[in-house]
Amino acid sequence: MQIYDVCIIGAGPVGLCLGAALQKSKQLNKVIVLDSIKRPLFKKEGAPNQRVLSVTQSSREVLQSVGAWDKLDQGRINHYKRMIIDESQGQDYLEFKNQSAHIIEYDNIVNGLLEVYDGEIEFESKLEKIEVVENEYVKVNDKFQCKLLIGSDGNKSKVKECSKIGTYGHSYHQMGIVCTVERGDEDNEVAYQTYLSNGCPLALLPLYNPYSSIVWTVYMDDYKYLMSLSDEEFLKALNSQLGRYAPRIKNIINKRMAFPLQSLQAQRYIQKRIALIGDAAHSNHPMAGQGMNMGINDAALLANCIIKNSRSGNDIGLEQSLQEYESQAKLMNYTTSIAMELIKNTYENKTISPLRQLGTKIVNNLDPLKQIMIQYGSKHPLGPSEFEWAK
Amino acid sequence: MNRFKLFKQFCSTINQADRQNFNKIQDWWSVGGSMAPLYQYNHLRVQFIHEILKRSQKGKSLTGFHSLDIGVGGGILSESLRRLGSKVTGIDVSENSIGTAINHKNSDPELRNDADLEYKLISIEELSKKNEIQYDIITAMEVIEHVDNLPLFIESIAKLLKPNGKLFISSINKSYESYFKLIIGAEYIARVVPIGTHDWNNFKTPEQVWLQLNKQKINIDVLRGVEYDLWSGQMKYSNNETQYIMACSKQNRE
Repeated sequence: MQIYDVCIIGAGPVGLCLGAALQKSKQLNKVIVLDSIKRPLFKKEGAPNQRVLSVTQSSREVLQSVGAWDKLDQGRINHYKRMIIDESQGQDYLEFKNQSAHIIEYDNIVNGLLEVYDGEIEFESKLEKIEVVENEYVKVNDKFQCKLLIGSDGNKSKVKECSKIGTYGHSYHQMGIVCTVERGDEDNEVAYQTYLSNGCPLALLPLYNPYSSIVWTVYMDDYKYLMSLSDEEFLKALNSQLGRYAPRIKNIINKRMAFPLQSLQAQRYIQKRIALIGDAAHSNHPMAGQGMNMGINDAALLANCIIKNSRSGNDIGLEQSLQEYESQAKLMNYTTSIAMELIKNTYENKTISPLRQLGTKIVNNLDPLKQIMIQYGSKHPLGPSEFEWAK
Repeated sequence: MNRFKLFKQFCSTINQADRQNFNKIQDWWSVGGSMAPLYQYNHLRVQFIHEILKRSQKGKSLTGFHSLDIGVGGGILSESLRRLGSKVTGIDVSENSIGTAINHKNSDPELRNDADLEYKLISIEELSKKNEIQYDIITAMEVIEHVDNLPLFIESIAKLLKPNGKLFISSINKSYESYFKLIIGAEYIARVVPIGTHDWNNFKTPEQVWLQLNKQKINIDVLRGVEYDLWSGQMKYSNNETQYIMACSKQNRE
C-alpha cells in the first residue's frame, strides 16, 4: 500500500494553499489532495458567479509566497480601498480610507492555486472511509496510507466526523443570501455595509466593473420571502434597503444562493495523525468577510508547523508535532470570533443604539484609531509572521 | 560510603539514584507529559547540529553519518536523526528508557524494520571498552547532569569519536539561575518536571566540561546559552546561564 506524507481532503482555496505551501518547501516526499467534486473550470468570460471571497492583505501575502497570486486572472481582481459602514437606524457612519482588501471570485483563486500546486490531486474521489489503527498510519479509502490526514472539507467535514471530533457553537437562525448584481455606476473603489433596522448587515462588495456582489444577512422568515420573490421584485427590495451612500443596483445577474449562518468551533483542531483547517475547524458570521482569510491563516500556520517538524526529523503526524499549530490557530480564531460576536451584538442591540451612534461618530473622527482597526482587519496580530516554505 | 561503592564509582559513570528515577518515568512520549518540553527542545537541537555540520535543513540532510546518541531516554533525538538519514546507535543505562525507545520505534511503521536505528542497554564506558567502531557524531543531550565521574565519561566518548568527528553536549549550568528556574520553578512550582529529576549538585558548568574535554584533546567549537521561552513554549538561544548547548570536535592526531 502506498504511503503519502500528507493527504488533504478538500480542494478549496484553503486545502490547496496548504498543499501548494508544502510542495513549495520541497520537504515532503508525497502530498495528495482529494475532492469529491469535478475539476473546476474557470470561465474567464462573462459575469462572475455568486461565490466571491474577500481577501485581506495577509492572505494575499500567503498566496504570493506560494506563487499563486501571479497566476490569478488579474483583470478580475478588484482591489478596493474604501469602506463605508452605516446603519438605517441612524445618521452616523464609519468610513475607512486607505484600506486594502480584494474581492475575488472563488473560482479564480482555486484556478490560480491549481496552477501552482504540483503534487498529486484526484478529483471526483470521495472520502469514504478512514481507518486509524494504533501503531499504523491512517488508511484512507482502503487505497493508501498517509502519515497525516488533513480535513479542509468545510463545515460538514467528513474527516471531523470520522475522527469523532466534536463541534460546539450555535446557529444564528439567519441565512446569508448572495448573488451578483450590476451597479448603476462605475465606481469599484468602495465597499458598503449597511446595518438594517433589525441589526442584519447588507453588504455590497465591488467586483470589477460594473459588477458587485451582495451578501444579505436575513432572519429565517425574511429569507423565505426574499427567496420567493422574482428578480425584479428582489431588485426593488434590495434598492430600498441599501444604505444612503451606496449606489443603486441596475440588474440582478444570477440566481440567489443562500447559506446558513453559524458560529462553530471544533473542540480540537488536531488529533494523532489528523488536523483540521478552515471551515472544518471553525465558522463564524460572514459580516467582516473573514472566513476564508482565517482558513488561509490556518493553512499557513499548519504548513509552518509541518515543515518545521519535518526538518527536525520529527514524525509529522504525532500530536506533539501538531500542538503548536493548534495553540496558535485557536488563539487567532477565537479572538476573531469574539470580535465578530461583539460587533454583531452591538448592532443588534436596540437599547444601546444612541450610545453606538455616538461611538460611531467619535470613532469616525479618530483617524489613528481607525488606522489601527484597518491594520487588525487586514492582518491578524497573532497570524503567521513568517513562512517556513519560503526560507 | 563503603570502599567497594567508592571503588565502583571510580570505574562507572552511572548515577544509580538518577537511573532509578528514569526507570520510573512512564510518559516519555505522552502529550503534555513530564517529558514534553524535551520534544520541543528537539527543534533547536537538530537546527544546531545542522548549523555546525554546515548542512542545510532539507530532506534527508544527515545521510552518510553514523551517530551515537548517549542517554536516548524515549528515543526522541535518535528517531529524528534516523529520519534525517543518519545511521543511529542509541544507548542508555535505564532498562525502562531503552524499552520505551524500542516500543516507540516499533510503533512507527517507517522505522519498525529499520536496522539502521538500534538501541542498546549499555553504559558509555562499556561500549568504549568493546572498541568496535567509531562514530562521526556523538550526542549527549541533557545527559551529563545525570552522570557520575565526568572524566571517565568524556574519556570514553573520546575513544568512540572519529578524528574530526563532532560531539554535541547540552546540559544545565550550575548556577543560581538554574536552581531557581529548573528546580524551584519547573519541579516545585510549575510541576512540569517530576520532583527529583534533577540534582543541582550534579550539574556541571561549561568550564568543568571544557577541562575534561581539553584533557582528551577535544575542542569546543561553539558554546551557546539556551533557555525555555515561556511565551512561545519553545527553547531558544539566550545569554542566560541556565542551560547550554555546545559543539566540539576531536583534534586530528598527527
